[in-house]
Amino acid sequence: MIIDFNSETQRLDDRVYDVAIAGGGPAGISIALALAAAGRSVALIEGGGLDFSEASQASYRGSLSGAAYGPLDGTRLRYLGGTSNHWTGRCGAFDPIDFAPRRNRILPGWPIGRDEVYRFATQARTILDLPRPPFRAARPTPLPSRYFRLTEFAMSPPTRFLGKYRERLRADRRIDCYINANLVRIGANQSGGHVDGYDVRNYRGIRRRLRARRYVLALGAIENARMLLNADDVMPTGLGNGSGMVGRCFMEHLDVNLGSFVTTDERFWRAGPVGFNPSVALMRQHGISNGIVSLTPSIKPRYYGRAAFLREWISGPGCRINPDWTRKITGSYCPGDNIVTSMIEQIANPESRVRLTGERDAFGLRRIDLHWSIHRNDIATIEILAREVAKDLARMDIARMKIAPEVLGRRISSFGVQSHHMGTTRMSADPRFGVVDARQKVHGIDNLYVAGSSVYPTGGAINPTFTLVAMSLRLADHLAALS
Amino acid sequence: MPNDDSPSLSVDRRLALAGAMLMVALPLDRSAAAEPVGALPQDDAEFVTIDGWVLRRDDLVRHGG
Ligand SMILES: Cc1cc2nc3c(=O)[nH]c(=O)nc-3n(C[C@H](O)[C@H](O)[C@H](O)COP(=O)(O)OP(=O)(O)OC[C@H]3O[C@@H](n4cnc5c(N)ncnc54)[C@H](O)[C@@H]3O)c2cc1C
Repeated sequence: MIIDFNSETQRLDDRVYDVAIAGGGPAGISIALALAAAGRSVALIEGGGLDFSEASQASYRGSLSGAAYGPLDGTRLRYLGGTSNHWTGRCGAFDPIDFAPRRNRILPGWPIGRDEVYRFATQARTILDLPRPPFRAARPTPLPSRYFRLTEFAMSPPTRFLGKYRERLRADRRIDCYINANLVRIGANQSGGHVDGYDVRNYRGIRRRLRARRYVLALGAIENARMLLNADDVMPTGLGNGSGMVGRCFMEHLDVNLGSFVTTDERFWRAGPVGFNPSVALMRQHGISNGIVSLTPSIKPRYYGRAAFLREWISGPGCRINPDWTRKITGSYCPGDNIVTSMIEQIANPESRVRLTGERDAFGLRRIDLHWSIHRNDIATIEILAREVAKDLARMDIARMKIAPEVLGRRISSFGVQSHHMGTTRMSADPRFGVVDARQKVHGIDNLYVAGSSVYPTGGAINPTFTLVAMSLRLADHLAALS
Repeated sequence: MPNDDSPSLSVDRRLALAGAMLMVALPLDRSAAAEPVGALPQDDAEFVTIDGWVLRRDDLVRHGG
């Protein structure tokens, strides 16, 4: 059932749930439904309500100190359904190479294999309303290339978890879904090795303790780290932070404009935009990360006519006497129109991190500073990928590409982002290099688990949500077996 | 080399750059780019980079007419 914690707080007092989950986004809701289906009792606490509210969203505010990033309360959504209330729905899976050791990495990668990560892929597809077979290239024929392949993905409608699952959360007797219920403190025993409760607060200042056998954090990648760091009343550096890894290795997918292109094969581009991924051989040869290079032709490529038109315009007087028109033409007919964008894997870099500041939100939780840092290996990946894709376009004779000067000179100063927050509680078999183990249990704590993309030790070059839903179901399966 | 995608560039400058790009990049304009080939940075046997444009060496071969 769905319980408004603003008006009903007593219910928590006399219960011990099998599992308490904090965070009602795709990760938390997927786990709650799977556990309930397995017969387990679940408390799902969601800080927001059933709609956007400024009072809830304000808790997401934070500061920025590294590479320029958007405001921290700007894209995440803090109410039931989480950020799925406005996500785009693009889904895909990590590539096999993402699980293999790589030359340009600083830290170890995944302690589990791809098959294990996607053990619940079929169920995740159902949750996200993905078509079958799920991930395909945008066109049927492969690229005539040894160096790149077409990116494979699928679009979710996009599934809005609030709209789709609200009724099930309401009707399921095994789930108590508390809205307006903010996790404000993780209570633990003296050694910090066992969680004994979640302190939950509503918007009227009333606070209660939620008890369960096992606890899950599913607050999104920034908040998962924030909550562990805020628990420094138990352990001086926060919970699960013995090796100082909580908050470290924040990763995004870098969205860099690599340049522009002109088309040389009209038939190829008639089918619309394409995404290219580097082949394993290319990544290995150059020691670079994964990435998607997206090529979007802006108009139907009427190549020669376009050139002729432009040249005539440039040499004629119209260009000078009608600057507005000129701007329009150069804006929409220049070769620069056909843009090459990208979504580049960022390596796990301990310097790229979220930290607590001294400022507190309305619940008393210290806010976050995001120090986003781009490693030189990331810049190398960007430049090498741009060069190699430019060569391959020419080799295949489907386009010629102009690489942006700042990319060519490795002088990129601003990076677009995808709102894919990953890596702040990374998974690692060795506690020195991560926060959770292969089961997503926090190292050194016997009953606290983390769900969502914060556990990714590497970020690959694919949107994160399909994977985090599949992994959440894997976690639910494990918890159900324990309870 | 300024970034020619920058909106702060004047229309004239933008047009000049657009024209320059067309000269080197479009097959019909190959002859115009053929002259300075000796002075271009040598990427490898297959490709050459001119002003950011990654071209095939045979793009620069003078075409008839
Ligand atoms: C504009 C945009 C477009 C996107 N498009 C895509 C896409 O196309 N494909 C893709 O794969 N991904 C996309 N994403 C990312 C996607 O939205 C996230 O990967 C996904 O929502 C993460 O799910 P989550 O459950 O881990 O976290 P969230 O969705 O962030 O959910 C976290 C939940 O925790 C709650 N919460 C936070 N703090 C507390 C607290 N203290 N107590 C209780 N509850 C709390 C929040 O209210 C929220 O409901 C996009 C993101 C944005 C912003």
